[in-house]
Amino acid sequence: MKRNKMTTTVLKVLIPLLLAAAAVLGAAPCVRAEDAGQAHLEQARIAVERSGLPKESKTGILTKADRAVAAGVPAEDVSLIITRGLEQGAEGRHVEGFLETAAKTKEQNLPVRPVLDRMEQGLAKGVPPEKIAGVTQRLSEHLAAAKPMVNKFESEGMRSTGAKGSDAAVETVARALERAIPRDAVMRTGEHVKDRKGSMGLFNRAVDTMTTFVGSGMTAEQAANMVHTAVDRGYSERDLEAMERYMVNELRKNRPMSEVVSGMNSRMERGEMLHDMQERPGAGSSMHSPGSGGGMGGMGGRR
Amino acid sequence: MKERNELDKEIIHRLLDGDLGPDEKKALADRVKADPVLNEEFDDLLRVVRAVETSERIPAPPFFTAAVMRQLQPRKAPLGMRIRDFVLKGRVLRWNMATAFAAMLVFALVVTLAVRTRNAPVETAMIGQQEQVVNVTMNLHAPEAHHIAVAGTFNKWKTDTHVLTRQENGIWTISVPLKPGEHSYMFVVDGKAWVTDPDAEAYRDDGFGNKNAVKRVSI
Repeated sequence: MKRNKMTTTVLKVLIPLLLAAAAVLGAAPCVRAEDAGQAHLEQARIAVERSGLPKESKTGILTKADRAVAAGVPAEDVSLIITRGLEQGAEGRHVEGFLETAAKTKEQNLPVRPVLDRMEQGLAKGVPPEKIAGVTQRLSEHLAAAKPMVNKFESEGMRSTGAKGSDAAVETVARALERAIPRDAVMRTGEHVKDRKGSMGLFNRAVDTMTTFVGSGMTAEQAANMVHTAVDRGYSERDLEAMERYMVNELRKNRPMSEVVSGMNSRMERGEMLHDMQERPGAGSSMHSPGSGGGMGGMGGRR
Repeated sequence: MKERNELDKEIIHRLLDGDLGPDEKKALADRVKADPVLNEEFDDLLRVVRAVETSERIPAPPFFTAAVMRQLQPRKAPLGMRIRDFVLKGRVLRWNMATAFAAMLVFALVVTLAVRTRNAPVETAMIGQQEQVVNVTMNLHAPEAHHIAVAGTFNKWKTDTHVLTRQENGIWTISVPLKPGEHSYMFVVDGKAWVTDPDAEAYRDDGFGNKNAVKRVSI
């Protein structure tokens, strides 16, 4: 009886201790992540305090930073935008504007990564803050416009590969709208993909390829027609990527866009899958020796 | 006669244990009165019981039971029975604080290892299905350059984390571990000029009037 009492006492002590140990260890990663976030914010706070900005600007930036983090913007990105912005000599109102745009984007449940990437990229490249502010503001608006378009196809049964798949499509559609591709062309692309019972991934790739074509000099109509034909002919995501590579390679050879378009159309007419063609001799190689190209590249330089 | 005697002894034991009913008590008393041998035996037993009841109680030393049990010769049971007993037989686990703390330590270590394993993909080789990385080589022919770095979506456009190495032929090169997906990037030459990779497989507007190179990584 005494032994049983002893065992019970030990268990009474042991079980809560074990549960406490498990809780502490289980919560450790969250605590570490939170600590890392706090460390990033502290870094930004120090940068703001050390800057020569007026007190109101400092307070404004820190308030906006807290709001952005509360909205779900990663603290690391908030910190990076602040420190990089201050390094580039951005005024307080611009940094506040960046954080405001990021917070609003996140609060609308839109993918915030493209907006953050655009800000971080612009600041790194030395783009004037006013321009970054305008570009990212418009990008955020395009994301808001793209979301219901993607949601429509999703609700109509277009298979999505989780939240990332849908978010990627929202980002791609936003970039298409940014490139002045008509909304109607994007929606028709979705209809073509849907008719083929294609996935959100295929829709994403088709819109992205269309945007790349337009960015390389095709008209929106040419690009839309080519992509729709490809989708109707059963081209896969990889085939569409191969079409882009084909176009890039042809342009590297200094072929005019009209020739490239007719060449791609005639290949599609023949029912050739461009992914296969890409590997065939004489169809254009995707392998170039370093420094041999140059058609698309060039010195960007500081703006 | 012998069997009768044994039966009487058992009844006497039950009497001493307080287990006999009134009728049985009366029957026993009649028999004890009639049988001198039984009467003498009954008296002896009563004396023993009284002696036990009036004697001083000596507490058993600690671990007395365990010591006695240890000295008992264990019976050699068949192997199958021993296995069955080991698996199925109820047992009392005796704890002391040292054992309890040792068990707690082992448990804590197991939980720690489990948690670390669960979080390992974030920082280790990212061998998991979704977190695999591919080493991608990027080259730029720039014999006149003194310093080249690559900045892109994979490093938040930092210009000081991925520096290319110059080869003898004027080609600068770097191997960058990239996750599956699309990555936009540009080279930063001598810390000021942003250069698009002329050999990229695709290009994308950077939103500021220039083009980023695109690297598509698949497993």
